[in-house]
Parts: sequence; structure tokens; C-alpha cells
Amino acid sequence: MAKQMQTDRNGSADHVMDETRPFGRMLVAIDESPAAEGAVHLVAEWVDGPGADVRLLQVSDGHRQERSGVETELGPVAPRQAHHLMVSASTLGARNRQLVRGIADAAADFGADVIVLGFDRPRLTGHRLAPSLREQIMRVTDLPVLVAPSPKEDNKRHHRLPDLHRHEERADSERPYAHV
Amino acid sequence: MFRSVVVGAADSEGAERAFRRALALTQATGGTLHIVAAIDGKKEPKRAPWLPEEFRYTAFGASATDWLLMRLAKEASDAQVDVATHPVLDDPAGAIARVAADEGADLVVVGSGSAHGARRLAHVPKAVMDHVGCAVLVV
Repeated sequence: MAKQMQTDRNGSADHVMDETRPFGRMLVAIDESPAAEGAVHLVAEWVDGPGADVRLLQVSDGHRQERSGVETELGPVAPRQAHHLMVSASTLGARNRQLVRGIADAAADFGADVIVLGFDRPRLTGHRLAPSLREQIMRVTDLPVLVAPSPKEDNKRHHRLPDLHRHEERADSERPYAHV
Repeated sequence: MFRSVVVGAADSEGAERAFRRALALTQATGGTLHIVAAIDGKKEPKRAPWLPEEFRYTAFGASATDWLLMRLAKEASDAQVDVATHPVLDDPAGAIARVAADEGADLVVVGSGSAHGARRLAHVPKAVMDHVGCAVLVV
């Protein structure tokens, strides 16, 4: 699998958009939510088909001390090379800015031609009324933004990533992202 | 992977950008491109109320919507892409969401709809993201 994928290959800032292969370098921002599953599945399919260079960016909350591995279908190399963006600011607004800027900067560093978002927005922002992170990301970058479906919304996809579900059964109040 | 790609057709820069991207993606993945044009029932006169909805506004001569759909469909056909057009009596977001559901879309492509320099999400892409269950690409 992933015959054409090369994860985390820096350089190539002069990457040229190929209209017949529109996604040549994909930055994939994921957390540990089910939404990440949809993003990983989508990217894996793309890599397996037209092919692309992929960088995974694992987003997590500053309250969590440990860094968990991300098991993906992108092959054995990808989990070890997933970059990690720790969001640790103490207020909601600052944390959002940090998250948005971190993803945009990572995309620029990688020379990405698309940003794939696979995270649970309410969990990351800590509040359902918080400004849309996807919109904030779109404001700070001109790149196309691909919002992946979560598996429960997309019944055609059944890929399982067990590590991405370990907080699924917790109550909202117990989730590490629930309180900021 | 993207067997069914849905894109909205409109006379705007964002919609044109979305179409170009959707066409390229469909071409790369070999799926079908569904082009959706929303017909505003309040603005367009009902010229043939006895006809099915999709023919009601266009039965007696091509409207601007028809010409737009024909132009985009021809462009897709010229690019060797399977294409289907969907004139839908609904608001733009509702039309896109409806066709995406009906056609089992894997991907919906929408323009960000900004007209004020910095890219801000307009109502349509926001509503599409909130209402479709598949991947959404905002360009």
C-alpha cells in the first residue's frame, strides 16, 4: 500500500501544481477523534490512487502530557513520523490562534497544496459556540481545505483505527479537551 | 476513490474556481462529475407549472442557468470526464446537499465565496459543510 507515498519529505518548495494530480502534497491535521479516521482513510485512498506526499500533523491538547502514537493506514513509517502540534495556551481564543497558526505554518513549511482537516472541532475548541476553526484556517491560508467526513456520517467507509477511539466512550466532562 | 464529485455552478469567481478544481479531481480519479445549478423559484417565472420541477423553468427556451450548465458540461465532456447536470429548484446550499445525497457523493467542491480580500467563508460553503455527510473541499 501507499506505493507512491513518501511521508515527511521536506524541501521541494518549488513543487508545481499538476492539474491532473491536484493533490501532490497533503498536510493532514488530525486529533484522536473519530473524525481523524475519515481523514486518514480519505488520504490513504488518494495516496493509493493518484499518489501524494503526505505529512501528518497530530493535534492535541496541552493538558495531556503524553504524546500518543497515531496508528494509520498510511504504512508503518507514518506513525513514527507524525509531527505533533501541542496546543497549550490557557485561554480559548489564544489556543485557537495557536492551533490555526500551527497548522498554517506546517502547511507552508511542507509546501502543501491542500490541508486536510480531520479533527473534532468542538472537542478542540472546548465549546460548541467557539468560532469555526475551519473558517479561521481558511482565513490565514490560500490553500484549498478539505474537510474530511467523520465515519459515522459516511456509512460507506468502515476502516477502524482503534487508537483513535479510546476517548469515545467518555462523558464530555471527562474528555481532556472539554474544559479550557 | 472519488466516484461521485458534486460541484455547484454559478456565475461567480469562487464557483468557477470550484468547477476547475472539481474537474481536475474527477479527471484524476475517473469518477462522475455532477454539476448542480440552483434555480431560485422566486426570481424565475414559473412558465410551465404542469411540468416536472427540473423542466419547469427551462421548457420554453434556454435560460442563463441552462447556458451555464451546458457550457460547463461541454467543458467536462471535452476533458473526457463523465458528467451529469442537475438544475434544482432550491437555494444553492440546499441544491448541492440534495444532489450530494441523491448521488451518494464522495466529495463536494465549493468556492470559499469571499469577495473582501481575506478569505472568509460565505453562507453557501458554510451551509454545505454543515449539511453534507461526505468530504467537502473549499477552494
